[in-house]
Amino acid sequence: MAWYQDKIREEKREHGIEIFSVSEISSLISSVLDDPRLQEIWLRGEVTNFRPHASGHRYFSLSDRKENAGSVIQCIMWRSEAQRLAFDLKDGTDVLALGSIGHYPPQGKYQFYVRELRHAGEGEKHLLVEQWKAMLSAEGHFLPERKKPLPGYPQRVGVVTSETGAVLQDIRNVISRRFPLELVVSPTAVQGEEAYREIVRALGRIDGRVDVIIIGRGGGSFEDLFPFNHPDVVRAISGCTTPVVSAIGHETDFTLADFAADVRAPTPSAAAELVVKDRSLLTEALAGIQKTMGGSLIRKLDRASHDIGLLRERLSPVRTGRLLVLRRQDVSVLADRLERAFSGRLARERLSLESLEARLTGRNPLAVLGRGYCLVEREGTVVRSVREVSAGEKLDVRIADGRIDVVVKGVFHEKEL
Amino acid sequence: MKKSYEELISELKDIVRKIEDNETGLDESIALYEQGAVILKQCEDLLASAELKITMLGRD
Repeated sequence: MAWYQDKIREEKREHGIEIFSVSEISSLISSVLDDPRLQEIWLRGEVTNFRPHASGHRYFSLSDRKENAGSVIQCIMWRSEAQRLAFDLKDGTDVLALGSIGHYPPQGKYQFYVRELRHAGEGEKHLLVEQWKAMLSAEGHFLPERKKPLPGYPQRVGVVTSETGAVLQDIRNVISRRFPLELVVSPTAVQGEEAYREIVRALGRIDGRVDVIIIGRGGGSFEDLFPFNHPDVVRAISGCTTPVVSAIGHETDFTLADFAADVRAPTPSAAAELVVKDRSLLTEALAGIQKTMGGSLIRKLDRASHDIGLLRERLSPVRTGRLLVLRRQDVSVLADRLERAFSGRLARERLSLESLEARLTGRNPLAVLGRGYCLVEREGTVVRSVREVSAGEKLDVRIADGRIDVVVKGVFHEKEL
Repeated sequence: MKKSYEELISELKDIVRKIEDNETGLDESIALYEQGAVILKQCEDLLASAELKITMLGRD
């Protein structure tokens, strides 16, 4: 046989036909199945051939309802997603499945990988809500910049809900406990086919007549809360000039009305708490303000009276007298210091004078006279040479204890002697 | 026109701020205090007099 296949291959190559490997085609199939028309799609069908698996993954098939059965798609739902299923999977259940078609090359088969599974009846409404959500979001009803701030101290609070429901009682209780004020109720049905029309009208009646509106409904099934997903209700909420707080169903329930409201509260009581402040806290705050205000004024008064005291003190006669004594003391101290300084100086001067005198005495030319020398002067000038003197002249001779007037009898030069 | 609690509180805070300011003279501070005391009383009255009232709007 091998020779035969080889022959075919040869022939085909000769005729220009390309031959593929299995893995080449397998990956081509994978890429073809990546078609966006097969990704993230909702598929409706009946569950058949359900096989729970020890791994926790769910394997089953979907087929059309009996009358036009004939096509089957194999499905797999991973454990992580299957854990979130709100109902038990059973053969025969009409379901809506969200997922993508994918190729599994090791087994050469394609499968529908299911992310989400719902009962078909409810699933359709969920789908509708998804469509509405996309549409209303595109219309801009959920934009954060559209959200209005709640008033700090409302005087009138509007409530759009059933006049008989627990919601009104809850809100009433919280408000009367925290900060009693005027509640304006705009009654409406909150469930049923026509409820959305009533809700829209109830909103229209109350908008602009109160400071803030709470739109509320107690907990219920997805079905019960459905009117709060209606586009007319969403548009009415987003169109309100008065800020709207939504409190619809339980904390885990979300309706489109919640997205359109300015603030979403988890419960009606929480909505009331958001809307009114606690009166006892306000009273405390007032007391605080009063304390602060009084405190600052008293501090200011204290400071002023302290300043006055200082001024008075500075002006008092006693203080002036005391100041005089002080000044007088200052003067006498200064005089003392002056005197001390001066007498000290005098003593020092005297000392230095004496030492000068002593030094001067040592150099005195007349001091030699004491030792028996004499000094010859003519008219006050010392005679240093015989040549300056002639016979008959009058000269003075100074000796230690006086003067002798002499007349020159003769002059002899030493060389001539 | 009666002032809202919000307006009164904001006025009161203004007054406290001015009294706390050292630039504000004593005369003025005393006058401000008197003014503040009046507003404070109005606030307390507003809080004390609050009472629950329920109005039911008629359906169309």
